[in-house]
Amino acid sequence: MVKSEDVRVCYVSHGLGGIAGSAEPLEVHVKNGKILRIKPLHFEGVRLYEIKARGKRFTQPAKTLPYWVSLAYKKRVYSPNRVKYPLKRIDWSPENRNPQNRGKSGFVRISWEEALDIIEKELRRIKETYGLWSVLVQDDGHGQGGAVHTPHGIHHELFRQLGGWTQQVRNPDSWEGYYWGAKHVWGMEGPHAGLPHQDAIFDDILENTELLIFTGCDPESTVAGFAGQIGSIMCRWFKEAGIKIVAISPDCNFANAVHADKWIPIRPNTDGALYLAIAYLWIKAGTYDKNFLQTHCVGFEEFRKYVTGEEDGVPKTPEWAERITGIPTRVIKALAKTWVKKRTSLALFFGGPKIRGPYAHETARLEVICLAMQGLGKPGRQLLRGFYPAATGKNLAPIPQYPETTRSFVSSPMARYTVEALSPVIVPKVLVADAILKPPVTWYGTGAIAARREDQFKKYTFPPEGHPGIRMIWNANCCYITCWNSKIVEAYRSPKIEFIVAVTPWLENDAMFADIILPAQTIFEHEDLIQTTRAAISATAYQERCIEPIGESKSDYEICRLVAQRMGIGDAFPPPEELMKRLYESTYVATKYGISWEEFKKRKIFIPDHPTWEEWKQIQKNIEAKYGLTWGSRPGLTWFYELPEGKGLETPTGKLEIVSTGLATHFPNDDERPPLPHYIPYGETHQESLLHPRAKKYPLLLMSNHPKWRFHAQGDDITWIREIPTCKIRGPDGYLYEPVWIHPVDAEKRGIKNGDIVKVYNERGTVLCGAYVTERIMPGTVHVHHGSRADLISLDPLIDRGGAIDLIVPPKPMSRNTVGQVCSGILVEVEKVDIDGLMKKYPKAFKRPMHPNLGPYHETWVMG
Amino acid sequence: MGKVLVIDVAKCNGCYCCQIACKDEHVDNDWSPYAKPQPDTGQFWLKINELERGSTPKVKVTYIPYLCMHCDNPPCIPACPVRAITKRADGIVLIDPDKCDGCRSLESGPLCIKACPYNVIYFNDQLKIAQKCTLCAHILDGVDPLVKIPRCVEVCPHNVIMFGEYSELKDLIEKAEVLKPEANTQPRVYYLNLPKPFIAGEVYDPELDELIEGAKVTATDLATGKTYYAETDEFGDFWIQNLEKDHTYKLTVEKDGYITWTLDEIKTEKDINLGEIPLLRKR
Repeated sequence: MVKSEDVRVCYVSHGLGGIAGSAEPLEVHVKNGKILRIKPLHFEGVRLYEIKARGKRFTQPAKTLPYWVSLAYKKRVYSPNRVKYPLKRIDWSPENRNPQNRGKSGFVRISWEEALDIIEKELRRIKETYGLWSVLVQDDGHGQGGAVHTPHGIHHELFRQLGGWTQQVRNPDSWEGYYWGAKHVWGMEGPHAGLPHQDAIFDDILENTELLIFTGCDPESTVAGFAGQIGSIMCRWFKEAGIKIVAISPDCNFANAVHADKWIPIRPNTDGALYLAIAYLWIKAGTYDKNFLQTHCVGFEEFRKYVTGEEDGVPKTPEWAERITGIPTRVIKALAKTWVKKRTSLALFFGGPKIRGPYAHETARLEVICLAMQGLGKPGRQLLRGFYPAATGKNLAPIPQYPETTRSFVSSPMARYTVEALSPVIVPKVLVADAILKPPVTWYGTGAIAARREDQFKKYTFPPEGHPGIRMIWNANCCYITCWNSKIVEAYRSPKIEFIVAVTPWLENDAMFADIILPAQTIFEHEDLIQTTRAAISATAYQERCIEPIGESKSDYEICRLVAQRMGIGDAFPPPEELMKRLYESTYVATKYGISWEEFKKRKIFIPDHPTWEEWKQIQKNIEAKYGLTWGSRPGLTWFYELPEGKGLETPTGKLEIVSTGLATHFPNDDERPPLPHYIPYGETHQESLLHPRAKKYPLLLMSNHPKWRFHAQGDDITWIREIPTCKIRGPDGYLYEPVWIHPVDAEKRGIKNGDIVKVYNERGTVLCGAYVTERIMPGTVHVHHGSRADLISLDPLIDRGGAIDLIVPPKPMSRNTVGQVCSGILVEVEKVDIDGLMKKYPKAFKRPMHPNLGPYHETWVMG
Repeated sequence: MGKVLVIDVAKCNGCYCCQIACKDEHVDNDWSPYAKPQPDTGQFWLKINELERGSTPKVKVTYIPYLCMHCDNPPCIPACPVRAITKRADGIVLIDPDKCDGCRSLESGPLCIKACPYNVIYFNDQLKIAQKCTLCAHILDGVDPLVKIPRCVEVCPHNVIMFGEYSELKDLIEKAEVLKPEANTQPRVYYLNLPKPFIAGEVYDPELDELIEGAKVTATDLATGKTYYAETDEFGDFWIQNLEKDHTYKLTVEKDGYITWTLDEIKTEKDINLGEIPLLRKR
């Protein structure tokens, strides 16, 4: 019999989207110092929201809806892949650094004393020789949630306190097309990075929308890593509201497979051509909101000329678009008609090539123009983004929530580093390899998520005057290799880089390229404060320490504190509980409900009530009474539509700029991001189109989207998930390969059967995958989810066994004057591979110790 | 009458949380005398079966949660040579992990595994015993007061797996069916909305190169005469749902002003996507 005293109940944030915030907690049961189970939290006594629409009531179940990776998180805590103690690369010493062996040579265990000795000596030497500004700090944005101990921003803060550093500025990697493109059309500043604010948007969608077009949208994938399965619940709302779902995507993705009424396959990164053809049909038929375009927009006439062919002699007909997109002409015609006839909204959630493809900013801009042509903000006509209620509105949440709850998302001040360029010396993530290997680099726009549109016109250079270049790297949870491209390997191995420290709980991704690895903790191993920032339900919780730290691991916060102490500034990092208490006291739990810190620690969790429907409507009326027509006074963009003259957007004219004023002023001759958006198949920066000669050799278009079974690069080692058929495919050699989705027609042509080991390749390298022959991908396109752990067989030529597909994406930014990332919609070929032949050619790589179900693990890298 | 499960397949989104929650409860946790831990991988006391249906672009995926049926007429019980398997008053079938010897003296291997028509019993190579779903009997018996219902039931965001007393779920059970009824095992796990074949297609006018809305599609079962209808939508799409497996149908597509299109025979061995169906104008 388990007595309730034997089992402790704790709460941990289940979000993996990081940004120093969390998602609402899961309940953890701990027995005898071991995690017994992880389960949903039931919201006892909480008044949930309800949205009244179409005579129905919409709400969510009274419990957390776990993300599958979070549910299995016990496996991450106890993973055979955990860094258990400090490690030193066997062939690194201050006298003999051997940078060329990074990522190849193994590690040995050292003590914390020795690790801190080495780090202190190196920091002092670097400070004296080059200045600390020569240290590049990469503190990745996503990861575990928690207000104090999470890694997000803490490592930047450490170096700011130490006196200087080069900040790797994280790019808005899931929103690139909107950040570098749509922002110039409709503003949308702030953490929304060019995506529209979602104030009270479900009030309108559920009441008025008749057709929802899913584009770059899979609510059954990434949403859950932020907010749990609320995205799936919302898809059920759409069904119950009688809304038709048409999904446009190269693949029948996980949401399409169960929720969509229609799947329209489209070649990756060609959506711009589709939008132009739809605009063409509307212009020819006169079925568009001419009035709205006159009063609320600027630049339509120039657009009309481009679409009809007056500008370039190419009318953007549906026949023209069919050749590019692969969508039959008659389907384009029907889509254009239905979009007019039915009250249509678009829905997107971090979608593939539309956000991270070559020139994705053009696609995003063209999308906004189509929305404008049908009267953006008319009843039922919105852009629905996010699929998580929290933190996506400007004044109000998308679902009924008291404004003080919405506003009171307090996060650690260190979180700022994940969205702002704060150091005087910066390098955008996308340019790190170039900054190391071939300085100087110049670019426009920091790429920081919170940076304003105008920053994209500002020129930056690295290194600044007198700066010696990057000499040391501090990598916190860095997964550059898994989520960008292979040039970083050369950069990590450059002799200019004298010392690399990695701080991480797991031996994965970039950790292998370090000289010293410090063991960090999972959220189960320390106390913290949970303040939900991206969640389905707002919650504040005190996260107790569930278990004793694994091995000698310490939290990122503790690690920074220890380093700070060694460098004589220990006071810069107050005791964690002090910081937690301070942060707590500014939450609505303390200020509105008057619960003290001590009382809160006993209660452990607080979930506020939601307003009633009547209260929610009154809140919106109050906003209108106080501020007039603005965000929150109406759902979504309806307030903008209702303005007699549409001014109020954060653009130079205040209007929706089809021809972007800022781009016309600063980049008038940029043919890769012109003032008027174009469909650009290829150009000087990228040649990833079937229309380009490269396609003769590489005739398939690769889509690489947010993965279903990982959270980006997190959780690739969870054995319970690796058993799922669409997660990994066990090859005849026993290795679990990352699947490549390939259509039967393409597979047959290449003699590929389901389960075969194949190579996905272009001139940049080869990635081995397991063939998943399926009808769920359109012919001519293949799909490999990003984020699988790299397991390099060879670097030159590049051959990866782990399925880290980003290793073969173009190493260049999105376009000439942007520093966005490109990792999808690229040309490849796929062929069967002779795995025995490879094993004979690279015997050492194939003979490394390997866990049968996990792949590479601790023993693969750590000697003795 | 005891515990039953009703699984509504139509609501399942394929998140696999039930499969994972089951592992969370039973891997590395010893719930003797109910069950010993299952190995880290390879056993699926609750398993999601995935069915990809149709062909590009008329594709759907159906997910079916699958577990021990806790049969009222279980073949595993009489098969066991050491009487390690029993059925409780509440209907739950359990393998006693101490009594079970994995049929180690037999050349054939575990007899219960061979007897089960649902293949839901697994052999633990380390412990050398047979194991399967316990319907979290340890939870239901209040062994751990912090959990109240089976893990798979609790974790599901869509309430796909409904659990309770027979009396509570009677109304749903009347509309439900069981798997492999021909095996006569009398399962306590019932299913709603198990997948039945569809015939789908896209109707268009080749002269105008336009999709046709409002065409009436009729499928007639050639054996029984039963008719099914669907109407094409604004994308010319139709889906005739819930046909019978391995039946032969005649299909017609009609629209005013067009010559009726007929397909004399098509057999529903699996879901069918007829692709693009042209309707020719009447002259």
